[in-house]
Amino acid sequence: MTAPSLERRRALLVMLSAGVAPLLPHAGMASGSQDLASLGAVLDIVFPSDALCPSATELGVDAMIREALGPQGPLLQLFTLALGWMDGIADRPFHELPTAQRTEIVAAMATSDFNEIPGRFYHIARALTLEFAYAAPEALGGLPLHPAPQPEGYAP
Amino acid sequence: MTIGSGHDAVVIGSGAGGGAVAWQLCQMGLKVLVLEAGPAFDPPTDYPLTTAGWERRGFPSPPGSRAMLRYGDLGTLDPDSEDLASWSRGGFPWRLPSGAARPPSDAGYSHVMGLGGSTLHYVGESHRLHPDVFRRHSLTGQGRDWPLSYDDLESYYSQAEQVIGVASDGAADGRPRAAPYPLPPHPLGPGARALVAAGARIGQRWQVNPRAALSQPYNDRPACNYCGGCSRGCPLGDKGSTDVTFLRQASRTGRLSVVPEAIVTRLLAGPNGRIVRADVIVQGRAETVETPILFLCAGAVQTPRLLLLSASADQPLGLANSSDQVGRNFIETLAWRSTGLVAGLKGSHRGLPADAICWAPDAADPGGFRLNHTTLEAGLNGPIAYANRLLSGHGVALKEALRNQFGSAVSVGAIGELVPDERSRVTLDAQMRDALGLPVAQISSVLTPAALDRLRRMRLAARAVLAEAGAELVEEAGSRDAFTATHVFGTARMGTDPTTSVTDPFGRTHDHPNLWVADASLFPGSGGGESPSLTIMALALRAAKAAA
Repeated sequence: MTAPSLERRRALLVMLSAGVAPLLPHAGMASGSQDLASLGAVLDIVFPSDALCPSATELGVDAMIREALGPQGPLLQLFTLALGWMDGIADRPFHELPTAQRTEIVAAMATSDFNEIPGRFYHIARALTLEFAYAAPEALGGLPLHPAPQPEGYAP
Repeated sequence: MTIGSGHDAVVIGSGAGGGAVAWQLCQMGLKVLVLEAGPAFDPPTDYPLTTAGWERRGFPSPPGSRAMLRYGDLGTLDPDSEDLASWSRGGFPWRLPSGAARPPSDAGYSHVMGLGGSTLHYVGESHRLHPDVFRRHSLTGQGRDWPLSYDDLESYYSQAEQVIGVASDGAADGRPRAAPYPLPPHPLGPGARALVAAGARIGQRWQVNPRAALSQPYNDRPACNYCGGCSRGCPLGDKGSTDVTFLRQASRTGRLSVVPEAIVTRLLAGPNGRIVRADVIVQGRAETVETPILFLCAGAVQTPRLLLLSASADQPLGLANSSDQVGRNFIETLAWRSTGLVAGLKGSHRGLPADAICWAPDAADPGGFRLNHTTLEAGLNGPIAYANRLLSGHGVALKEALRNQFGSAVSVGAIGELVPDERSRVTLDAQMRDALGLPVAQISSVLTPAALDRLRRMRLAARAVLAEAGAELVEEAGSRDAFTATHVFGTARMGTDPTTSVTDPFGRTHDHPNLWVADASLFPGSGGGESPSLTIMALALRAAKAAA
């Protein structure tokens, strides 16, 4: 057996291609906008800074995800729709809300139906955030790990 | 460069079978040409386990290192087997509905085309088949007997172990040995030690797993330093892939020529049945090769494909196929994995992948499957896999949970015998063509009810030892949900009857006296979960000796 592939973006796209399109009419959120201004604020709720490790945006994860989303396609569409929905929940865009309110919104998304846009966005954004963040050596604070397995290895 | 004629033997493929064949023939004084369809890899630069972000990179896949494939009938996800659905605490809460077609996984038929073949990404478990495997049908009424015995292979097993450098302790495992392992065992890691202790309390005998990874310097290769990256490519060269073992040693005889990126497109047989020519595309240029002896070692998918691609007016079913068995009897890897978090355990990311094994965990299914310690093979030696698969939630709580629990995961893998359904076979796809315009291989593989029942037994045994170790289950995955196969067998099986087999008991095709097969296509059965590379090597050494 070999280690499982980490080509998550491909796996996500496959999943989304079968999943997002039917959601659009039901959700009624086809904005066509590609405003991702709140992306970093969401990612920093998923992966905030603490004493041992920077936040997602401090690690540059938001830029990496923007690149991973590409110029078009279902993944970008999902993020655009979800962030647009989040920006419309209160009287201000998500990234201008107090931290407590942002935290509450993301927590609700975490428990929502995976077959609806908020739930699916949460799980995919979480997966991408953790993958990009923990690829950075700066994120390994408090973990018994080297930046890479070689050259030291991990003797038993 | 013209590769032309003048060779005593031509070997197609350079993995476990092709590498061993080339070594044996060179040792016996023959001039050998190896044609490898894929590229040559440079371990220090191609397997970058020294740089950050390593966890996001699997084994490299440059152009030409994976064959184009298509999948046919892989069965359906039966509601009656929904209990075997994969799940994880941290993964996506989504699965295909029952009744859907069983898909291939991202890995699918997991293989490498390159100098060293799939040994480049194998973990390096080096197993001898149990002697009872060779008499499986006689003993149980299941599967097929092999046309040879364990005793016929024993000396070749030893020879292969010496060349690749297998480390183990020689503890009894039901597989008699005439010579000790060439290297002492690796120390067990924390996860394996937990399984050894737990297994002893419930009647599961866990022991050192024989591994082709050097526990001390050997020949011109360094000892393993336990980076855990065997399946991502070994940058040190301590793993016994054929590029740094069989092929390196064969090259030193001065009688070996190796041509990477050489794609054999067709074999031609003369009127007396002998293969007279191979057509080859070498880095985009058409060549022909003549040889007195031809070994086909391209694996259980590409070997039957090439035989089928070589159909002609005289051999309308393809070469070596008067039995109509080429491509039939395809056997995938029947696999299960359960993972748990063991409170208080530290450092399960340390040590050698697949360091411990339990050969007979189920007394009611003797020879049916084995378990191994598979935490590192499962990718649980990095934070991304932990956070994304084993842990739920987000925020500071998730980060703290990872710090607290990293190193406490223990995975138990199981691989079992699979008797193929009659629909399981490799054929030429009717629509899809590769870059050369040739039909690609189509893989059909359907799990039988008996296979699903065995998966349940495998799961039961894996869960039992984890429960005894105090683990809380957090992830399980198995063959029921998706086709993933690293070990594939059976598509040019050996036998004594030319009407039901493709080759004789040495691997010489019944129909063509100078055409030999030396890869897992030959296997009449999968064995009881043993990893096949050492048996492929032993069969190849034996065949080459017979052919020389």
